[in-house]
Amino acid sequence: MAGVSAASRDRANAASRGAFDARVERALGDEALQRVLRDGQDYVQDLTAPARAQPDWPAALDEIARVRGATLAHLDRYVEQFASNVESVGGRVFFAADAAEARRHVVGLARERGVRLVVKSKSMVTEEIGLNPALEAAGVEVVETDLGEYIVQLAHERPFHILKPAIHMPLDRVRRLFSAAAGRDVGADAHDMAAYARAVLREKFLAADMGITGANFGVAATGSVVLVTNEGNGRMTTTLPRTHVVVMGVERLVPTFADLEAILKVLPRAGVGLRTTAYVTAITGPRRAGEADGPQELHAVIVDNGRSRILGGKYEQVLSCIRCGACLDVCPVYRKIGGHAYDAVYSGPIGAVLSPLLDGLECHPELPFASSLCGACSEVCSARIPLAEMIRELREDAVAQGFAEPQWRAGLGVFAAVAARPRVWRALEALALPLLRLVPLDSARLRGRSPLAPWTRERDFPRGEGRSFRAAWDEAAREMASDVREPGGTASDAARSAGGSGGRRGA
Amino acid sequence: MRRGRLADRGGAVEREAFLARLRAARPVGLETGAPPAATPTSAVAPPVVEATFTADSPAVPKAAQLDRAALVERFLERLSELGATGAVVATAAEARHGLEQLAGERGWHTVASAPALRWDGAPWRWTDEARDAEAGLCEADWGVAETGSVVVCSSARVRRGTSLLPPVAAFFVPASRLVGGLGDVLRALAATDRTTPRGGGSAPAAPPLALPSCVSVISGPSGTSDIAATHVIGVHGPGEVLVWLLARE
Repeated sequence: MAGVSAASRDRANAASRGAFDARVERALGDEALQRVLRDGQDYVQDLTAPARAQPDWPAALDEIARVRGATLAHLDRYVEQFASNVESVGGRVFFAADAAEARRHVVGLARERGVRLVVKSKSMVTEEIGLNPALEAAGVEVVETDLGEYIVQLAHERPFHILKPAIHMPLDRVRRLFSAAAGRDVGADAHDMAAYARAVLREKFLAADMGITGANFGVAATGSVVLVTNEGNGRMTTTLPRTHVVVMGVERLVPTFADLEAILKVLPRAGVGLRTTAYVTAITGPRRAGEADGPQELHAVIVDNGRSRILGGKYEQVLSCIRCGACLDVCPVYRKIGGHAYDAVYSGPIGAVLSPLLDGLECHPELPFASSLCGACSEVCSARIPLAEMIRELREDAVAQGFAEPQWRAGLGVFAAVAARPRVWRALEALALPLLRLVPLDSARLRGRSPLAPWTRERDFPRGEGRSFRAAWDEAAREMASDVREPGGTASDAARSAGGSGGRRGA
Repeated sequence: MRRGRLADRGGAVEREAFLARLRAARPVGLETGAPPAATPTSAVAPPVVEATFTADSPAVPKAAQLDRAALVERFLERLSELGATGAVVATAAEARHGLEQLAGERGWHTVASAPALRWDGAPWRWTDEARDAEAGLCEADWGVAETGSVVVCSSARVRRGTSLLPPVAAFFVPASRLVGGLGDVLRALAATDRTTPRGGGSAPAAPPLALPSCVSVISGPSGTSDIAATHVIGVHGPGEVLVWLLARE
C-alpha cells in the first residue's frame, strides 16, 4: 500500500465495508435465501455426520494434513517433477505467474487453434483468473457443463458455494432460466430440467473444439491430473474435444497416487456425505498412439497468482485445502450471509482466509471480520487447517496495515490511553455507571438511530446494574483480608477460588 | 503476443522465474532436483484402513482382510446402494445371456464395445462409436468392493466413450480383479511410477507409459443435486450401470 495516503485508504476501506454491509443486508432480508441456507446446512450436517463419527475419521484427516504438508514443504521440486512428467507423456506445460498470464496463454491456445466453442468442467481456479470473460472477449463461446455452474452461468452470477455453485437457486428460478434459454417451458420438475440441460450440453460436448478443466489433484510422480466429479461432465470434457486444457493452482499436487487414498476417502464424505463420487478420473497425457478417443493435445497451465507469496509464511497451511466445502457448511456466518456477500471467488471461512491472501487485504478488508471466530471451521477442516486462528491472525494484519475501521482505531486508542491511567479510569467509571443505568431494559429505543444500531439490532445493550466490578472487587479483597487473619484457612481457600489469583491487595 | 513463441518453446524463462518464487519461500541451502523419494506413505503400510469408515464398530474387519466371498458380498451390497445393478454369474457366457435378455426387453439395436469383447449371435449391431449406441459394454480392469466401483483403463482397444456416452453402461468384472478398497487401485497405479528411474539432478524422468492415458473409476450412475438440491440420476454420464461379476473367467 506504499504511496497510498491513510485518508484515501480509509475512504476505500469504508466504501468496501459499506458495500459488504449492503450485501449482508440484502442476504439477511431475503427470506427464501435464509431458508435455503438454513435447510442446506442442516441437510449437509445430517449427511456428513455418520462419516465424521467414524473412529478412523481423525486419523484420515491427520493423514491428509501430513500428505499436503509434505507436498508443500518441497513444492518447487514436486512442481518440476509434475511438469517434466506431463511433458514426458506428450503434454505441454505453461507456468503462469498471475491471472493475466494464465488468461493470455489459454486465449492464445484457443486463437491458434481457431477454437469457436469451449466446454468447461467445474473449476474454481478458472473463476479466480477470470477465464470465461477473456475467452468470450476473444470471440469464443464458453459453456459451463457442471449443472450448477451452467445455472450460474445462465444467471450471470458467480458460484454461491465452492462445491455447490447453484445451491441458492430455488426451483422456479432455475425453471425460468432454463425456459428462457430453451424458448419454451421446460417444466416444473427437476428431472425434466436436468433432461433439458443434458440434451443441450450433449450437443455442446460433441461440437466443442476445446475442453477446459481444473484439477482436483495433480500427481507429481506420473504427471497425472485427477478429476473428482458426479455428473460425468469432467469425463465428457476430457473425452470429446480435441484439445484439453487443465488449469490448476500450483498447490494442487500430491507426490504419488498412493498419497491420494485418504484424500479420496474424505473428500466426498466431508462434502456431501457420500462414500464416493460417481467418477474419479486420472488423466495422464493426451491420447496415446492408436487410441480412438480422448484429446490429441493436453496443456497444463500451472497458476501461481499469489500462492508463492503464501508459501513459507504463517498462512502456508491454507494451501493444504482440498476444497471439500465442509467449512462453508458449518459456518454460522455463511449460514446467514451466504456465498455472494463475500464478493470473492472463494467464500466461507476458507474464502475469508484465501481471498485476502490471494487478492490482497486491500481488496477484502472486511473478510477477516466476517467471522464469529467460533472455531467450527477449524474443527471440521479435512486438511486440519486452523482457519479460525488464521482469520484472527488476518485481523491483526488488517489492523497493522491500517485496514481497521477508523472508529475502531480511535476507540481502541482511547481505551489504551484510559486503561493505562488508573485515576482517569476510576473517574470515568464513576461517571459511566450512572449513565449506563439509564439504558432502557428493552434497548429497542437504541435501534435505528444510534451508531450502535447494527449491534443492538440482534442484542440488548447491557444495562448498568449494581456496583462496578472494581467496587465489588475492593470489597471482596477487604473481606478476604479479614478472613485470612482468622484461623482455619478454609475461608481463604474460598476467597481464592472466588477471586481467581487471590487477593492481590489483601493481607 | 509477447510470449507466444517463448511459451511454445517451453517457456523456459517463465518456468525458471516461477520455480524461483517457490524456492524463495524456503530457507537457503535447499537441495534441488528430484523430490524426496515420494512421501513415506507409499513405502509404509497405508495408515488409513479400508472398511471401518462405513462400519459401525472398529472391530469390523478391513475390506482387505475379507475373504473372497465376503468381498463379493460387499461389492454387490455397495453396487445396490449406489443404484447400480450387480449380479454374480459363473461364466462370461451367462453374463452375455443376461445382457441379451435385457436387450430384448429394452429393444436395443446397437451396443458399443471393444472388438475383443464381442461375440457372435448377439441380437444387436456391434459398434465402435458409442455416441449412438443404446448401451456400452466394457471389461473392468478392477472391481472395488468397498465403494462398489469398477475401474476402466483406456487403451488402443478400449475407448473412453464406451462407458460414458450411452445411457446404459454394462461391465463384466472377472472376480480375480476384485480388490478391497480404492487404496488398492491407487497403490497399483503408484507402482507404475516405481519402475521409473529417478536419480539426482533434474533430468526428466523416463515416461511412466505403463500408466494408461485415462483411468476411470466409475461408481454407479451419474447424478447431480445441483437443481434445487433434488437428486437426479443420469446426467451427462450413464443413468444406468449394470455389473456382472464373473466367478469363473
